[in-house]
Order: sequence, then C-alpha cells, then structure tokens
Amino acid sequence: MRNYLELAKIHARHNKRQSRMTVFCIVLAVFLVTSAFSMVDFEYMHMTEKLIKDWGNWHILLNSVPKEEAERVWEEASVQTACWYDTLNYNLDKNFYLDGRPLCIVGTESSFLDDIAVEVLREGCFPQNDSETLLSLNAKNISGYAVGDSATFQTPAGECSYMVCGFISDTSGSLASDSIIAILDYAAFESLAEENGQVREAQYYIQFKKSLGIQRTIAELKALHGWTEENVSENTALLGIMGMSSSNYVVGLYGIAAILVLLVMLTGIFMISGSMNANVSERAQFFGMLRCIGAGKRQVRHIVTCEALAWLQSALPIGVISSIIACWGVCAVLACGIGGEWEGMPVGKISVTGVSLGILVGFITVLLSASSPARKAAKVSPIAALSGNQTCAFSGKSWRNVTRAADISLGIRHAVSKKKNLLMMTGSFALSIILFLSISVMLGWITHALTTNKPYTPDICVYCDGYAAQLDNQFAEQLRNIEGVKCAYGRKHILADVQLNAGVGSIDLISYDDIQFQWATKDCLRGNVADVRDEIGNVMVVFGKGNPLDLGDTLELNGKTLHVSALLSDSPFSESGIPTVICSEETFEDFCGASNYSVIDLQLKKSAGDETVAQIRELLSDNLGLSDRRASKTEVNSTYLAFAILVYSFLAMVTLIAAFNIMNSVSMSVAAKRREYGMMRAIGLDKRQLTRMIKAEAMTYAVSGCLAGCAFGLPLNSCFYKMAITNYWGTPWKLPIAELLIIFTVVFGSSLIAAYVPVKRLSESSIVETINVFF
Amino acid sequence: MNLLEVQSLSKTYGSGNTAVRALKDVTFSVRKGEFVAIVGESGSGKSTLLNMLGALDAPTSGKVFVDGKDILSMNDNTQTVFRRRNIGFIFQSFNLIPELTVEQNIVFPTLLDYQKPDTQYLDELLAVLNLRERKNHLPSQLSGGQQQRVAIGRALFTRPSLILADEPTGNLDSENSREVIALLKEASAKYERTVIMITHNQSIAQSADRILRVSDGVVSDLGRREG
Repeated sequence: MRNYLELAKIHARHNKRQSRMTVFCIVLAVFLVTSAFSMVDFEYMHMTEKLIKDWGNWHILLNSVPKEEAERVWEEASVQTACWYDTLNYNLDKNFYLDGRPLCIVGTESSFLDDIAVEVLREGCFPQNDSETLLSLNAKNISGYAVGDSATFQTPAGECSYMVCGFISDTSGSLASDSIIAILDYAAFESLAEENGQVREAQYYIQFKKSLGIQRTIAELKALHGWTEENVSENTALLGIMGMSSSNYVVGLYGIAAILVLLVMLTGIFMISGSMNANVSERAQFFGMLRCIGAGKRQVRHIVTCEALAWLQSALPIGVISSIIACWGVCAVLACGIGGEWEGMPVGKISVTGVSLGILVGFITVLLSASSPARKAAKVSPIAALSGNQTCAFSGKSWRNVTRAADISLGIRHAVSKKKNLLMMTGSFALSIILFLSISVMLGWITHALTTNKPYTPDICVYCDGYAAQLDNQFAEQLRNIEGVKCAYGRKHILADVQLNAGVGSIDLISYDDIQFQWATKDCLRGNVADVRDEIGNVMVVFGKGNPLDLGDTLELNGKTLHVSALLSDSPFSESGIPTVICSEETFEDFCGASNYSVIDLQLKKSAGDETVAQIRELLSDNLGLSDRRASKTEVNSTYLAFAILVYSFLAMVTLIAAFNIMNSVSMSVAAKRREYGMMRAIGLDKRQLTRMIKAEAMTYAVSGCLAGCAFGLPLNSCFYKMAITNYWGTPWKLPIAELLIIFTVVFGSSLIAAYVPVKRLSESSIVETINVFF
Repeated sequence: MNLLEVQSLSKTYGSGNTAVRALKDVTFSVRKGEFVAIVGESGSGKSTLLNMLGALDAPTSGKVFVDGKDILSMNDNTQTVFRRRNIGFIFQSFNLIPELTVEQNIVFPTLLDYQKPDTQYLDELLAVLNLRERKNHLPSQLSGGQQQRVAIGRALFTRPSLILADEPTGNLDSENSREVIALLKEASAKYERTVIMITHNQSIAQSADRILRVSDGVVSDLGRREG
C-alpha cells in the first residue's frame, strides 16, 4: 500500500456483497447508455446506407438553373461529384409505353449510377452510346427482356428502338404502378425529349466531399449564384442523419432522443447517488475515524470518489460486454428475424462510438453520482468516531401521534421526518414514473405513424385508367373467387361540387362497404360510424389540416343534404387538399346514382404468392391497371415490428430500472437505520412489526413518489402526445390509464418486495451485531 | 516544559432553559512526556474535554495550546494537518479499518500525510507491540487486546507529541487492559509521548503520572504520583 487512495480499492474488494447494489446500478447505467448509443450508431450506419440506397448519395439538387451556371459548380473544391438527371413521363400520365406498360424514361450520366444511385445497377452497365438503354428488373421478370434484346418504346412522337444493355432494380413505386423505368444516356434522352416536344425540368445532383460545414457551403453557393429555396432542394434525410440538416424535424428528433438519454442518465445518477449516500450514512463512524487520524475533508472526498471509481472499474466491463451481446441479439433479430428493410443491420459488430460514449457517460454519471455522497462523507465530524453513528439521531419535531398501530406510524414517521431524505426518495420514485410516462407516448406514435399496418391496407389494388368507375360487383366477385385472395373490397368515388356550410366547394365522395366500415370504427374520434353505415344521408369525414368539415356539419349535394355523423382520425386516403367524405354504398347510389367501383382492393392469404398475382393479371382487360403493394407493405410491416420491439424493450428496461431503483432506494434507506432497528428489536419489536414498519415507510415513499410522478409526468406525457400525435392525427390526449396502472403496480409491488429483503437480512443477524456493527 | 496548555475552556450545549454547561472555565497544563488519566462520572464532561483537546469540537470560549500553538483558532485544513502530525487518537472501540492488515492500519496516517512509511520504525513498533507475527492479519483475525495494540501503534506511528485515548480499555478484559496500559506507558516513556487517557477504572487511573477529575464540567487536579 503506497497511497491512501488504495484504501478505496481494498474496501471495494472486501465489501463486494455490501456494494453489490451500487455495482448493479452502475452496470445498469453503463449497459443502458452503451446499448442506446450502440443501437443509435448501428441505426445511423444502417439508415445512412438505406437512405443512400433508397434516395441516392446526393446532398443538394439544383432545379431550374441554367446549364452553364449549374456546371460551373463542378469547379468548386467542395464538390465530389455532380450529374444531370431528367425524366419523361414521371407521373405516367403521357403516352410512353413499353409493351403496353407505362414507361418512365430517365436521362442521366454514368456518374449517377456510379456515385449517386449506388446499388441500383443489377446487371450490365450504363448505356455506352445513344442506342442503348437500361430497364427496370420487372421488364426482365414480366416481359422477358434480356441483355442484348431490342426494346421498342412507344412515344407520342413515334416508336424508338434501343438495345437493352442492363437492368436496374425495381422501385416500390414502379411495382405499385406496374410501370417500367428506362435509363438513357443524357444526350440520347435530350434528343428523345426534343422529338416529343416535352417541357424539360432538368435537375442537377450534387454530392459534396465528406467534410463538415455542408450547410455553410450550400449558403455560400446560394449567395454566389443568387439561387433561392426553389432552386436548391436538400436531401434532408441524408443531411439530417449526418447532423447537417437545416430541417427542424430532424433537429427535433435529436432533441427528443437527447431528452430521453438525459432522463435515463438522471435516473442512473439518482440510483447510484442514493445507494452511495446510504452507504456513506452507514459508515459515518469510519469517516469520523479517518478525520481523527488526520484525513482532510478533501482526502475523504477523494476516498469516496475513488470507491465509486473502483466500483466503476468492475461494473464497466460487465455493463459494456452485456450491452454488446444485447446489441448483437437485437441486430440479429432485426436483420434475420424481421428482415425487410432491416436486413442491412450490422450483426456481430462493435460500435466504437457506442462503447466509448457508454464508458464516458458511465464515468461522468459515476463521478456526478459520487459528488453528493463524497461531500456528505467529508462533512462527517471527527466526533462521529467517538460518539458512534451520527445518522441514527432523528432531527425534527417530536413524535406526538402515537396510535395503537405504533409500527405503522413509526414507519411513516421515518419516511417523513427528514425532509431532504423524503425529497430524494420521492424524486427517485417520481423520476422512474416520469421516464415511463414519457416513453410510453412512443407506443401511440408507432401505431399512428406507420399507417400501412392498418387492417385495411391492401396487398393488390385493381383500378381503371383515370380511375373511371368501371369495376362492377361481378368482377369483384370474380376476384374474390381466386385461390389465395382473402378479401376484396371496392370503393366508388366521385369528385363532387357541394354546398358547404360556408359556400361552394369540392369534395372527394367515397363509398365504403361493410368490412371497411368495420375497420373504420376503430379510427372513430367522435360520432358513430354505424349511423353512417345504416342511415342514408349520413357521412363521415377525416380529421386533417386540409379538412374544414367537422362533426354536425352539413353539405348539400344534388339538392339533398348530407350530415357529418362521424369524425375519423385516419383513413387509407392521402391528403389532397380536397376534403374526403365517406358514405355507405346506399348513400352513394342515392345521391349520385348507380355506379361501379373505381378501385377494388385485395388482401391476399399468407400462403398466396406470385402465382395468385399472375391469376389476377389474367382477369384484367387492357384498360385496367394493377398496383402491387406487397413489397411496400412488407417494408412498413417490418419497420413497425422493429420499432415495436425497440420501444417495448426500452419500456421494459425503463420498468426494470423503476422497479430496481425503488427496491434499491428502500433497501438503502433501511440499511441506513440498521442500528435503530436493532435497538427497537432489543426493546421488543418483533419481525412482523418490523416488516410492517418498513412496509409503511416504503409505501409512504411510493405514495409521495406516485403523486409527484403524476404531477410532472402527466403534463409531460400530454405535451409529448400533443407534439407527436395530436398535431398530426388529431387524436386527443387521454389520461393514460393503462400506463398509470402498470407503473403504479410496479411502484407499489416493488416497494412491498423491497421491504422484505432488508427485514430478512436484519433477522439473520443478532440484535447485538445490528447495534454494534457500523462498518 | 508544558506540552499542553488549557486556558479558561468552557463549552455550553443548547441555549436558554435547555442550556447545558458541559465544561466550566477549565484551566490546566500538562508537561511533555506526562501520562495523565482523566476520571469522572458519566456525563461529567470528560469526553467533551477530550474533544476540545483534539480540536474535534469548538469550545464556547477559551483556548488550547499544543506545543505552543493555539489549535482552536486554526482553520479546518490547518487543524487537520496539525492533528495528523501532532495528535494520535486511541478509541474505545478500536476503530481500525477492517479491510486493512495490521501493518497497513498502522502506516495509514502516514499515507494521509503523503509520506513514505519508515519501515525500520514500523518493525521496531511491531516488536514493541508484540504484533510482528500478526502484521499481515486483518483486525477480524485478532483478539480485542491485539486490536487495541494495533490502534496504539497507529497512534504512535506519526510520532505525535500528544496521544488522546478515550477509554482504551473499555472493551477489554482485565488481563488485556493491564497489558494495553503497560504498553501505552512503555511506549509513552520510550518515545517521550504525552498521553491523556479517559478511564473509569480506578486502578488504571492510579497507574498514571497524574489524575484529573472532571465533575459537573469542572476539572480538579488530584495531583501527581510521586516517583
């Protein structure tokens, strides 16, 4: 032993059992922080890859900028690569076809596939001359094209033939619209566009060199060339994930993540600090002795801090290793179990950032946690060495309300006698509740945000060109009879001018059948969906910023009155700026006359595969289109599942922290009064009374913690809910009764369990030992 | 030559009707190398007096000089360093650090002073205390008498001029008590340390060079033992 600080290490080694609680707290804190940062890091890597794959590896896009001016950007030292990009028939509303399928033609340069849209090229190479083209894979799979074949494009200006030089991957958009994408060399594209007399809106993709300050470069370019917001579009998703976006949404997400990590850290600090404070209280005589034999206040502080660091030394590897293993597990489940868009999650990797930040935050958390107990230990007077345990003396008012249930009264008295202790314990309990209530909002968010998980989401949509009402009931029946089709449901649609409350306006009137009404019931905010289904003249509307209609409003259509009888939080239709009004098929016919369906949606059985889709295609005449949404549905389903797993694991972890924190706090509070309990046992307190006394104390903390937790947690829950859900989907905040019940059960349950552990420990040691042993 | 000078020392706890005067205008001095026993009833003010002598507690009024230095007027840091270098404490309940061995417990105050322990002196002290064979043992592996001998070693190791002992035999049987006192006296004489010891045991008090009686906060000198 060469330095007095080695005492801390020796103490930690000899008191493993006593410091087990504290070490476990540190392990948990390090585990949580490392796991959180590692998963964020993995998600960052995965998302960056995915965003580059889905949206391209570009940072800004120039629109409506003269060619010479755009190309001058190449001279900038900060630009890594740039290329032209333009499309013909992007909206598939012009007469460009390949073998009867809608054709979207893209003109670009080879650097687009090399640097911007990486991983898109699946076979072959970029067109080497004006007569070559790349096609999307569905041209190969459905129409049977191969490299070297000739493909004839039907264009408004006539037919043009190109040689297929390769294939690019399909997009979910091309699959959904059953269209083909063709890529031409930019020069060939320009001449084709000219022949067809198309108005061009060429875009110029720019990728900057990987360095900080992309936003500054963008601002400088804008200023230099006088470009406006309309001229420059940012790849906000990619820039956002790189932390260089000007998008408030991305900054907001980082903000929420930071608040949650801060809350977890704060809970960690509370847990460790509480556990160390109790430990220091128990060892008051020891610190008094140290002061007597010459230890200065600073030295006592250093000893306590070093003890915490010694615990950190043993807790750190456990926390980090268990977190690495947990992250491997989660990544493996995401990548292999869920798949879809999570297939790219890195499995078996160690996040250097996560581990380093975990260690750093663990270190800071422990140092911050140790500061209060260290100050407390340094304040212990040297007289404590002579007079015994200082903490046993109760301060405050005398105890007057002695009732028959003296043990319970005494327990409550113990809890409330020291204001600071009560405040700390209440704070510690409340923090767990606040954390739980804040995070539980995410559960509501995932069910709202990931909409395709709704029961009405179709796998296949069948529609007429121009969404004409030409699909009759008989055709719907034919579709239903195909092997592999689970259900088929049609919608009639009309864009109608109506007399609204405040004047004339347009509405999208859409009909629902019974099964769709059944699904809509779950999204009903106000009113009654059954009234809309059963009574002619009743309609329902969807909450949204573009919808001025509300429950009780009326509209006049063809001289008849429609009543808004229900308000929905969500529907399968995207906001178009025109209010969506939903009615029954009977109401539709009554107001608009007999009509066929515009769209028929199909849901397939799990066993159904491509052969079912092929059978559906066979039934389609030339004017009918098919939108295959299985791929995008699987993508979002896997996203939903992954988010759900992450949110539920996080919530389970928070619940575990809450339970453990409470048990630890109660146990430590009891340990600090060990000597007094010993004295009470000496004067006749039996084990049952001791248990009741400690239970009463724990329950007092639980009640005050729940009150404080609700006082702060519910407004926070409501605020987060409004920010994340009400503002977007209109669902009003409701008292989270289920969540409150869960967390109250956890709080009171763990408080009760917590009371038994120290009683068991006290009963195991003799009364004399309990009174005399301070160390 | 006086090592300790106590001048008009008073200590009052509380105020008004509940005020308790634990020490009343106490004045006395102790010579260098003297072995003094303080006796008195429970609650008479013995421990309060010892706390003031070790600068563990602040008096209501009065001064305490150790080696000519007014220890009660020092700030907390200076007091700590002074205590570390000049005053050794021996407690009734030994107060050893349970995780440290005999040897480590003895040298610990030196480490607090950022000094390298004098191993030769340590060996000599272990021999005097008859703990050589036990130097690597933990306190829990020692008898009460042995533990108190370790505490004496710890108090002596920094070569303090004053040793304050609060009922050092209070937790020991008569055999061990005799041994410990003999050892304390031997060490005091050999290393010329001044020892002030609180005791309830009359025969132990009788073996001291001088006895001070504390009664109701007043200290009276019962005189020096001749010879």
